[in-house]
Amino acid sequence: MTTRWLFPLLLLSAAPGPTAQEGTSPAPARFAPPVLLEAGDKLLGARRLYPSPGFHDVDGDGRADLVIGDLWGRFTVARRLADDGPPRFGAEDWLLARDGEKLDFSNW
Amino acid sequence: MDFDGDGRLDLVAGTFSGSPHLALGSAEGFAQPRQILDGAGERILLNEFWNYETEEWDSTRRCDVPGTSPPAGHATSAVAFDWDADGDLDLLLGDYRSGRIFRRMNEGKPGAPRFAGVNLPVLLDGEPLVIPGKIESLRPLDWDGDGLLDLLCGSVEGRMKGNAAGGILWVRNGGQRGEPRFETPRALVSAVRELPSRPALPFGGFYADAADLDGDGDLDLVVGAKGEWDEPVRALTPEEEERLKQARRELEELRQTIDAAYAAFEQELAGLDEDSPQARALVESHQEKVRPLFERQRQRTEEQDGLTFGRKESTFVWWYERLGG
Repeated sequence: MTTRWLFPLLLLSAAPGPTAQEGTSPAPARFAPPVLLEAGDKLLGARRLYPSPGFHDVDGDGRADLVIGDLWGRFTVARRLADDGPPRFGAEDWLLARDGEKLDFSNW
Repeated sequence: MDFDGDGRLDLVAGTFSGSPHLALGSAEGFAQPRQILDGAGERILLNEFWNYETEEWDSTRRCDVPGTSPPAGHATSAVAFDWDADGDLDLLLGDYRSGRIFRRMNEGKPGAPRFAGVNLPVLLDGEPLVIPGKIESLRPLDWDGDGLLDLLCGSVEGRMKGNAAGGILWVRNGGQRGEPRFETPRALVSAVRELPSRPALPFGGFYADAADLDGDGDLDLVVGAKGEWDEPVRALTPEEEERLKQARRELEELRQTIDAAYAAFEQELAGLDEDSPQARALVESHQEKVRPLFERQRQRTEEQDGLTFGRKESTFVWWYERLGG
């Protein structure tokens, strides 16, 4: 287990320095101030290791739900609630496989 | 996305093991994820990976283009992308370590993938495209509505690694169908450089996707990332001080109980074959025992955090409503 944890730290510390391409140009997009999303009565993705949101219509209702993966390779889904106001999502549930177990992307 | 063309949602994801995985959807639900293999039945990798047989980190040159020596790479993000518009899905692999993107061409056909054995670098003006701050996440989507799939990239680094270039980056596809030509990354969201007084903005470890959340016809961003903030100090009421004391006391008791449960578990597990029915039953029983303890620990930690001040961090998901551009 110790070896597993050391590796990410080594990766970060051994990272190459800036390259000639590093640096960006501004993109032609304007955004409203960011808003913390909630799922049910909790903050979405809170206290997850590296929460990775992706839009997928998991329940087939035509609305994009938010699927959140994390470093452990587990996924939750927060279903988009049906209304016309600002985006609202239901409480996060584990995304299960058809064997009834949590979907497990076996991170390492 | 529909990887196998059966009309159902499938999930493709990179993993920290270095191999992309696929969970196929069906009428009964998702199958448990499996590694996506190349046409020869080998793992798809860059050149660093977790070796499940030796249970050590390992490296290989098997997947490099012959005659080339790309820098050490570790594919932790993966997406399906029909690069050559031949109707089947190729793979793009994001390198967590160097910020480069590689493609694995699918030489099969829809429903019968056969991935090549080598990683081809995605180029910018003839040189490998490098995402500033390295790659945490990749998403193919048409950000500018020109009918071509661009890339939305989240960087590993942000303020927490002192890389001002980190954040969410748009890599426009200025090519044509079947011949992508990616342009210099442009920052959509940059990492915050100063600690705010509340978790109002993301700091590092960026993941993003986009969808029209408000129904106004353009794509909005959602960003998963780490947030850090400096909570202003205020005086606690006597009642809050008592709650904080209780939370700390219970957290210490929980820590001791959890430690004791793990010590007992390890003692019972010692000498058992990890794959034996007895070991599996023991693991399940242990998990049942500790799960409510961890839930209680989470609740009390939240309570404690709400009553303490100074530098804090957590992860969140933010919505960036696109107003124009």
